[in-house]
Amino acid sequence: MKNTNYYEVLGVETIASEGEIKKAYRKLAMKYHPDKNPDNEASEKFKEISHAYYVLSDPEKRELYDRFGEEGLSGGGGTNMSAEELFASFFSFGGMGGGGP
Amino acid sequence: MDIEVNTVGIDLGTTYSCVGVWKNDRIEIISNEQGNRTTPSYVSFTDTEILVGEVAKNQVATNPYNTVFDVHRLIGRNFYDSDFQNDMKYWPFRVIENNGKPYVRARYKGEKKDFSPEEITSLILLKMKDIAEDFLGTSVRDVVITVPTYFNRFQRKAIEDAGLIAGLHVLQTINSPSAAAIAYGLDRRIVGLRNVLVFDLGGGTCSVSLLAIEEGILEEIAVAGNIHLGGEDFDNRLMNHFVQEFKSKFNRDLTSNIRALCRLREQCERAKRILSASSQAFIEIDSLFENIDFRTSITRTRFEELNQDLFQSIIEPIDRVLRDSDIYKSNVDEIVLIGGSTRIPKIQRMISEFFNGKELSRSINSDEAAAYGAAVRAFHLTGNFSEKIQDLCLIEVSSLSLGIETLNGDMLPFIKRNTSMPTKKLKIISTDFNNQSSISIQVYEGNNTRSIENNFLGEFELTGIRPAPKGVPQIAVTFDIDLNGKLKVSAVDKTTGRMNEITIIGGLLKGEIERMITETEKYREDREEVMQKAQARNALESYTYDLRNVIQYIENLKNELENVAQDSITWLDENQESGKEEYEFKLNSLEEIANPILKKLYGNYSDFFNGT
Repeated sequence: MKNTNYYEVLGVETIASEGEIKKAYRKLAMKYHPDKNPDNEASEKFKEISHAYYVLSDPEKRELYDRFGEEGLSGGGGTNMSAEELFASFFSFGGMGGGGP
Repeated sequence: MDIEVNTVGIDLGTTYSCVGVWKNDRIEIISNEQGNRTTPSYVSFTDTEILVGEVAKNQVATNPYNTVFDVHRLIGRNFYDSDFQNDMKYWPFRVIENNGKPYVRARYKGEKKDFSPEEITSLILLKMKDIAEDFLGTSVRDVVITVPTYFNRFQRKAIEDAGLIAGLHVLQTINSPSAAAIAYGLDRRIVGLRNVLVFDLGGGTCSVSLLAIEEGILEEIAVAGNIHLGGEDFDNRLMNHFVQEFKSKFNRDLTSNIRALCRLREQCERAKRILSASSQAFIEIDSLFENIDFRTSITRTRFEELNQDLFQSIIEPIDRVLRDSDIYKSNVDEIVLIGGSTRIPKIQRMISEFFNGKELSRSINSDEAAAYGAAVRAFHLTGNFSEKIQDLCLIEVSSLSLGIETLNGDMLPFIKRNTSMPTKKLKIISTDFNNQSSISIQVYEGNNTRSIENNFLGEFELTGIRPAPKGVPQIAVTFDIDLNGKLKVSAVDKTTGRMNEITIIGGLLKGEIERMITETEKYREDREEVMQKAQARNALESYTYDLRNVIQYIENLKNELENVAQDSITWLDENQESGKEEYEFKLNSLEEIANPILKKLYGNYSDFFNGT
């Protein structure tokens, strides 16, 4: 995962709407999906794109990403603690339930 | 343009299979030797050969212990699984345990022999391959095979292994609803983005998929399913019902008689099909058990009642894909039904009602759509292009979550279900204890929150972690599924840079596959031998009967000659003093009649012997 700026990966503004993000994702996904572009590099790119979309298409994850960056999503902790739980315990978020990383 | 085609699509079903091929710029669904476009997924072992398909299914009642079906419910399964133990009760054939895996024990050529589910599946695939090759007149190598959406990695790998054993190269295993969606999308010029829900209910499994389709781009949004729900389960309910009825009517328990059960099962399947069109079905089985004739009937209402809970459970996976995809019922544009069990009126009604009375799409052939789509996919994956196939792009999702086990036995998902593939997901984990020097990464697959209830894929250890308080070391764990679907899990200690990884392969060992390939070839030789023997016998038989016919023919000619000769003698006796002309005329007439007959008598009789 080279580019950790998910907005750049999808080529959208940080204020992009959900619809714009979805449209950008679909366009790029079609370009780099193995069916369209069967080399390894393209499929690595596809993985980046779909991960960026996975984060930015979910309002909760997007907020977490906007505030703490990639670290906010892949965070540390023991094996028995997910990143959200960890960040919830650090920053005492409200409304963190549901939707693990 | 005529291209040498050797790629096919096979819809491999629990109870029936279907094969399609791209030919003359369209898909052909190929009929088997009996003229049917679907072939029973049955394998029967006899004293001389292995039978597959229609002939095998016909053996169920006469050769119940050695006729295998439902292999989809064996493949990639754990013998000790409680669900699996329950399935076993319904099978007349014998299942034994081999390294925790179920194997079928059958009598073949007078000897007990154990067959892996992969081998049985390979025999079905081989049959479908033969059907295609007979039709095409060329050999078939590359294939796309459909699988139920909830098949796990090991089950998918087992199907690929079965393909290898059958001498096929499996280009891809594809979720059956996606295959049907390809077929659906191909026939229509879809304008704009359409949300299509495909519901597949076959003989043994239920698969649901919600796809966004736009001009040849098919994106799976969410999939769900039930690996253990289908027509067979409805048959079983009917069976139990009639066994009870038999008991109360005649005070006899027919479950002790496998043959009787098999005959009853056949009739139950038949009755179920009839009830999709009629409100009542009759069952008549002569001397079913202890010479008792069983005559009874069942109404559609009663059938629906017997299966009420099963029918109800089809809504769960539909509901789940909608929840997972965040799409409202009202935003589903099309509902496509495939699989034989979707003919059941109650099931159609329930789905329509769930979508507030929305009309279901009936334009697709529910038995053939998956094979059709798989054939298109196979054609496309081998680099072929046709004007008719829009530039196909199928974005698939993982149907089951992938993750690791946490200290307290929970599953920490890395790749959650319904993630588009290929994919790569990274998480930082840490130690659970102070000064912990190594960490064990146990990889699981499944949608249960407890890892023990999921499918264990493999494990590895990362050692050499420097002493530190718990939670301080940073271990970057990555799950990576590449473009071929291969899963690699790696862990890197951010402090020391030490790393370890595992590639999940699963399936049979290479040596096992090679052994099975050799044995499969032997079965083919056995079959060839039986066929040649039958042909030789046929040839002798037909020559013998032809000979009998020739004798009869000669006999008839002789009788004819005898008659004309007798007539002539009678005439001579009666006409002692006739004129020269008259005698000459008589001789001419006699010759005219007799010569052709004589010619026939001394001619050759090759016309009699058809080609021999």
